[in-house]
Amino acid sequence: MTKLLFWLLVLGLFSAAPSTATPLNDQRTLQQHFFTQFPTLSRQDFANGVYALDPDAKQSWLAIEQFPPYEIAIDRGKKNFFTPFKNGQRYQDCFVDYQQGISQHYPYWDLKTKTVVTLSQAINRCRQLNLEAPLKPTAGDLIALTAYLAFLSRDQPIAITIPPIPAAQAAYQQGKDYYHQRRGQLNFSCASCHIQNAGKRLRTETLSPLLGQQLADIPT
Amino acid sequence: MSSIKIRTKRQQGTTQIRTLIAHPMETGLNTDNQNQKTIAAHFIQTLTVRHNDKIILTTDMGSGISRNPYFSFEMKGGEPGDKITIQWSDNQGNRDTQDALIS
Repeated sequence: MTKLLFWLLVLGLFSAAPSTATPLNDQRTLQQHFFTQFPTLSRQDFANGVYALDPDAKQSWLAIEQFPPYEIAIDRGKKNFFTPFKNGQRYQDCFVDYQQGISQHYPYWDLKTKTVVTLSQAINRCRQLNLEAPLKPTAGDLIALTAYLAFLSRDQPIAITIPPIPAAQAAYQQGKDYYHQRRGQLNFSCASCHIQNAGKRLRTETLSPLLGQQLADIPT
Repeated sequence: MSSIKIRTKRQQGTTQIRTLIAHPMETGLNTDNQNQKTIAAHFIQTLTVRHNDKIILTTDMGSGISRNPYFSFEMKGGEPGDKITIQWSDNQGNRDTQDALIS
């Protein structure tokens, strides 16, 4: 749930709405905040998240990348993706552009159902269209499928737009509010760590900046 | 698809061999959340590594190794084109084997 609402926020950050709209202004403000706070990092460096800030973590990550443990999950997702449904259709009939990478376009505001649609929900809609039972959100099969699709979108900039209609803008605002809402035992909000204290340490972890892997094709 | 992935890397006088094996590695102490039944023990017992069909390493493994185990070790020597064979067998009688050529 947190992840979904976080994406709602990100959805807002990379809106192609007119420059007077709030999401785009929010994005500029946040970018300026992080560019000022970390003047040595380039715009692209932020795409590496916490690894841009912590050289040791970056070394570990690069070592893992030589033989990634997630390959097992991606292979599983790939196998599932190309397994036909009982009616003979396949996932690629729903996601015709999958080879170019599609996960950078999710989540998006669906004009028909007037809701935010995540990649997982789109996969389950595809299954329902083909008379298959939906996969559980926490099930390994669904996670493996999204992992495979996300892997195909590697290095693609996030390309999410919020249509300039009130309901979609409200969804953005809802995600933003959630991100700034304090909660939990420590009374932190998401923003406490990833905006106000990014780059500092919380126990053993370096806090990653919000401006992370979601660099979009916004003109600068 | 084989359950074994192998990467080799030649260094000065040695070869680094890394392997990732897809295996549940159940200890026999876990409970299935769905039906509250104990999940049967299912873990790799022996892992054998051969270099050009000569055994260079065997391990006796127990249930205390994580799921999808990863091993990395160094071997003296190793030339391009040499064959590395990794084989495992588990307590339920399953086995798998995979060859890789040193690059």
